[in-house]
Amino acid sequence: MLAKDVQITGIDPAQYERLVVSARSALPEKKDRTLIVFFQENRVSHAVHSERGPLDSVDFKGPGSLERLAAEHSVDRVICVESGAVRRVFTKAQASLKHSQPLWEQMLACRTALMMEMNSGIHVYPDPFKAMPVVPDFIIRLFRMLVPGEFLLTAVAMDRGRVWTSLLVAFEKGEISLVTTTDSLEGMDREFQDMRSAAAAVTAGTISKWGQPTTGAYMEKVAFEQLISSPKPLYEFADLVKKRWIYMKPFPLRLKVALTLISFLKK
Amino acid sequence: MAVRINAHGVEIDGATYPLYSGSVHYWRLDRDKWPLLLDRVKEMGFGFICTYIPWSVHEIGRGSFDFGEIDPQKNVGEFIDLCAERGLCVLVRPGPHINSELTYFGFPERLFGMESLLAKTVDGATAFMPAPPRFFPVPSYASNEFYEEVGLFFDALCPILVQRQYPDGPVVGAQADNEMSFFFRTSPFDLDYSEPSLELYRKYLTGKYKEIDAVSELYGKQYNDFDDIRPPRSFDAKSARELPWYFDWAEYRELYVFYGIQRTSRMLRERGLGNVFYFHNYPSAYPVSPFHIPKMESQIDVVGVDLYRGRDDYESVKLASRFLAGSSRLPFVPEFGSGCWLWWKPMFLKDQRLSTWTALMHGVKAFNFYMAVDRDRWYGAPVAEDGRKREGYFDFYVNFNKFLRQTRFNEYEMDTDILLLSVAEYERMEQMQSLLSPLPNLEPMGKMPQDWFVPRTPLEGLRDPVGALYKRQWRAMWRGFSEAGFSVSVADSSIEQMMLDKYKMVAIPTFEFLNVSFQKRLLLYALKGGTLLIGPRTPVLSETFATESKFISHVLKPVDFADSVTVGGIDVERVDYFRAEHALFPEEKGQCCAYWRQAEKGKIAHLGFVFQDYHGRDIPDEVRALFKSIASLAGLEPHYQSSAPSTETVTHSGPGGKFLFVSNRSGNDVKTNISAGHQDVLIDVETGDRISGPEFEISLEGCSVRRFHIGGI
Repeated sequence: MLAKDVQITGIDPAQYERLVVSARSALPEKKDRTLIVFFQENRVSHAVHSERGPLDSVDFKGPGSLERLAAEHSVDRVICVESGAVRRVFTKAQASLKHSQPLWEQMLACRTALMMEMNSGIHVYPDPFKAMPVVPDFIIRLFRMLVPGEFLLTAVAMDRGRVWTSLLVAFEKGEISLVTTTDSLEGMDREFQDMRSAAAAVTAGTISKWGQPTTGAYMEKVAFEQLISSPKPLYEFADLVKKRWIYMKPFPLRLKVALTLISFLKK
Repeated sequence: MAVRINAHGVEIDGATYPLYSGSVHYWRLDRDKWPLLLDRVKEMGFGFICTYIPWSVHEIGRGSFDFGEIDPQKNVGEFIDLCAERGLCVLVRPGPHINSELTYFGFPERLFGMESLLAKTVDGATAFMPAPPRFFPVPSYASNEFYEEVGLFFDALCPILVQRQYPDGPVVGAQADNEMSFFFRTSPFDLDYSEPSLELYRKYLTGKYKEIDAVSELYGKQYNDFDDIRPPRSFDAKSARELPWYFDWAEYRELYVFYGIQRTSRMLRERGLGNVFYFHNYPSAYPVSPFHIPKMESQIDVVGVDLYRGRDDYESVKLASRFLAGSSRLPFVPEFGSGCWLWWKPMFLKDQRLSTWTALMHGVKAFNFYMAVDRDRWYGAPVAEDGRKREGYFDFYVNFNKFLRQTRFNEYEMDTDILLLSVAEYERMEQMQSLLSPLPNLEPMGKMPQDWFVPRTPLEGLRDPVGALYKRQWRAMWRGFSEAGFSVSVADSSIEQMMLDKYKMVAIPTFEFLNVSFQKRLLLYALKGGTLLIGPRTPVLSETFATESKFISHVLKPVDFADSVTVGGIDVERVDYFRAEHALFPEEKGQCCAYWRQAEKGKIAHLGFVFQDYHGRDIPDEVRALFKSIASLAGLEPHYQSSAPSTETVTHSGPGGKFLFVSNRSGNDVKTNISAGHQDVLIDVETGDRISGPEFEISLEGCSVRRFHIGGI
């Protein structure tokens, strides 16, 4: 999550645009036809279809019938909201918010308030939390051991010897303290002979502007596109490093261990 | 020595300067780079520099501040002096709220420990602004204690600004607070329920009603004192008679915003910043309650809206621009997106190009491009933090400003014949009845409009569910006239008589109740020679639901009713039938559901039905034809009509003749035929190419706007 004084600077709009366009084309087609049902004591008080507007009749038989409703109204998602539930979420979230909390704690407070209403005053089909992978606890602990408290990552995709898109992110105390691109570094607007010379220049520029990078990943545009279109990008990343499609510099031992662990998990 | 706003820009000692400004945040940029960065902004053709002056950045302890004495990057005085050296005028935005993606929006963190000055939600909890990188408690703009703290900052800052205000320096404009909107939490039953706010609410009621008995009678409740009155905390009304209590709360919330801006501007004026114009910006592109441009402009010089819109937002840029053109003294966008912040939807040059030209095409006359120079937590400005010119972006603003200056475009007027009005009471009702409450709705015309979330059962005492139907009818009128080829401006029901009289036709959705003074203005407009379009109902009640109609003798009484019918190929609902001399549709059994009547020198047309909901759908040709025939009652004919559905045209008239703008909102390249109806010549502004004919075939790239001189200038 973002640090209180997060610095977001030197974002090259052309690089960012390429990143956004690539990410958008890699995303699966958006399914957002939604039916929203407002109910009170299992009786519909109002229903809205995201494309057709308010509906006259919705055969709502309680929160157990959402899958049927989705099929009947040709929607991708059904959200049922009991009268007063939205307000309850607001009330609970605000009662537990503090300005001194880090952003992740604040968001967690809001999520907890929402979760308290989920399957009680608010019902959603399909369950949005079901799709989230459950990572075993020991894996999380292991990763925490491997990830240092403060680190700086650089990631660069190249196209015909030039920086095509890039991202430099620093973390402090587990929060993002810097987001930038190679635009904030000196001498990046040129053609590089190969990946190694690009990595050397980016590393030197990063050291002079932002400090020693913990690690850096350098790849061709095609490898980048493969990475972001993968349904499991972390596994894909480990795979691409192994195949040397991604050149790492620096490549600390901890990361090597983490990537080995990821490859092992994939199996 | 006077600085004021007129319809064409900033008037300084009688001379008008077009307001084309770029934002630069001095404290976020290397001090050594300031001269270069200001030179770059001037090179793009901007005449004004706009900057926030953030309280939290300058405060180093309660009542003590650093304006460059410790950190040279905070020397706002020197920054302003550098602007003066370059002949650039300066607009200052001292807050106290500044947003600008700063942590806590520029409020010092120490305020959050002062519980008594914080805004409260309906449940009595401290209200938070959920903005990254930290959610924070928001101050109450009704709290005297809050203003005392603000005063400490203004006391220290104003001497620096006062000695640099016109005529002694370049500061000609100041913003009174920023994006006043209950911190974007605009739902009527969310905040501010703090004690100072409730005190202000009761003061407002005392001022409005004077006697407590008048309130008791109107609300149908027994009060002994104004202190007994509690505001509504949710919408529970069953009958129209209960509405005044709710309407007053909604009106009070508008006053709250008004009060905050008025008090902030007064504090700056009292500290000597009196020789500048004052402005404000609403965060909503289409400002409905609690926003109110004409009322606010009775206190400060100009109020605009923020626009951060991309290539998919043509319609919302158009609507916002038309609203400003119809409502404001100077259609001004105090924050026009040139770049963006990372946690908003991504926007790039193509987005900026389309939204900028679209805004100009639809009536915006003054811009502050936010940002002109990149800075922390921002990307996509035409100048990088180190002074590099961003490829494509920089040249776009050079060319845009060149066009504006060479043509003196600020002196042009958008050609408009029709005014579409919105009605405060109906909008308030829609907001209060929203089932999404307390979720805010800053996009009332967005993907799923707010009226979709209003129950469709009428309140007792009313025939129609006004909150659910009003905007639907409004949208049909807006799209009906626009897509029939007419240029439509938008304003709200507080519009002055003089402004109404400028238009050949005024359209307004009406239901059974309507503010009486507004009824009078509308009727007078028609009697004096205007053409007025109303419906589905004739107003027969006042805003307090007393029987009072100014229209009754000028319109017809319904003789029959139907739930839904198809008439003239159009499906309509909740239909009244009349026996009329001039039917707008073919009659059936001697009855019609839409008609017009002569009203002394003018005409009143009445559509006695509710249209289908056309949101997100194509409107039928028959609807366009209907609006074309209604416009013809006022002698209006569409000009320069464009054949391709994703395109439209607008003309502007000014000192050098006429300009024709042609837009293509779709992402695909199109060819369109534009019919002038007479022999004419168009000269492409960019290429100089000439096209002759009564018919012009024009190619348009996806998401683009082309400009032509008409007839050669």
